[in-house]
Amino acid sequence: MSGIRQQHNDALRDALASEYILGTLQGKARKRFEKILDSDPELRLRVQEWSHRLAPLSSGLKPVTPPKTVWKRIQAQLPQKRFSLHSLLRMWGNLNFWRGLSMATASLLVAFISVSLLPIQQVAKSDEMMVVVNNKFAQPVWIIETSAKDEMMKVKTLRSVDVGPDKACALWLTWDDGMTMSLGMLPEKTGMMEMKKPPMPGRSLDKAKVVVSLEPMHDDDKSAINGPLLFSEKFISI
Amino acid sequence: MNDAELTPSELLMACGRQDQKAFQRLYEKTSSNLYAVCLRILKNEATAQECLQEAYIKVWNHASRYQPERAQATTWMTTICRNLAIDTLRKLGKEGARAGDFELENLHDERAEDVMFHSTDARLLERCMEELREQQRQVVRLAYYDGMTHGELSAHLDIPLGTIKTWIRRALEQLKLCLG
Repeated sequence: MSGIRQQHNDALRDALASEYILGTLQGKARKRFEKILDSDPELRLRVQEWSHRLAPLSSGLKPVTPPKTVWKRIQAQLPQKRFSLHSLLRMWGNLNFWRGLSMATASLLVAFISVSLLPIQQVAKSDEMMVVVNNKFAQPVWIIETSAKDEMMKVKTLRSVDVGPDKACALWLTWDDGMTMSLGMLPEKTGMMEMKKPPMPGRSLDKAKVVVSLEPMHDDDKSAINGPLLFSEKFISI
Repeated sequence: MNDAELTPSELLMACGRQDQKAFQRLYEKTSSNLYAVCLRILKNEATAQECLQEAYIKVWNHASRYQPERAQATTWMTTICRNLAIDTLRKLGKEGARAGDFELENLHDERAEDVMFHSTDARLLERCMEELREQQRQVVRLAYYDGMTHGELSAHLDIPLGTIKTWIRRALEQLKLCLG
């Protein structure tokens, strides 16, 4: 009797593992199954076997190259690289490090002298920067990309926005000293568009905050933020 | 050996050691396949891109747990990606997840039988799929590629729920026997 029960149990476990991988095990049953998986290595093994069996169904799909922004967004979420004490000590004792350092110092001196002769605008940073504007559910809605040398900002709308009739989301740049620049209204439908950056002499983008506020659709006052703030964040370099 | 010559498994293990360069190479090698999986299930470019992004962050965060002797890197990553896509589909609801990209259904509606199968495993699975009854094959594909539940399959095909469950259970048992 216990042998039959064991056999039945085995069949049931295998059926659950297979339907988990197929995707038909859903809702609370899927959550319960995942909880059991955490503490059941034999069940995990069955899941791995089913994953291996059905994986070729995915490899049969025609590959589609994702847009470059996806990698940029992933990269922005990775931890910043830091030097460890161990690697610094290893570099300290390395002859190549000292050779490299002396060459770099010489190059830096030459570069410094050359740069000192150029107008300030030409040595401004040209780094690409981006900011991801999320909604209240922490879902990305807009990706805004630009660089110090670009006259335009690329705005990608990832999901449609509905802020009600006669309202729109306005995009601004603000600085700590109170300076505010209007960039216009953000698009509401998914897609890509470019927005012109206003001239900002003496202003650095990496010091600016990107602000989104809710404003009347046809608001002519471009000098100040009047509506409620929906988002405020600095650009990140990419 | 440079990163370009490393296999996805080797790159994934390097990611487990926090090697960001290897992670970028892994992304370059595998993202078009995983994006196809996200698109196939979610049928909306924006949602599929978010899913892909989330999947790679999960891959990066869990890379140290990857055990090459248990699964191929691509299988391991595809499972992460599919699970996230299916979860997204459930969370947003099918209409929510797929709203706004109706043309995508046509662009990416390539069924497995329409494309070339390359690996031995893939050819064997395809042969085993061919041995299933037509209805069984159809429900397996709709569940796998479209993330349909038993209830959705029942409504979509206008077949009683019990029959759908039986078709799927028998199809999977038969596939297991055939694949050995």
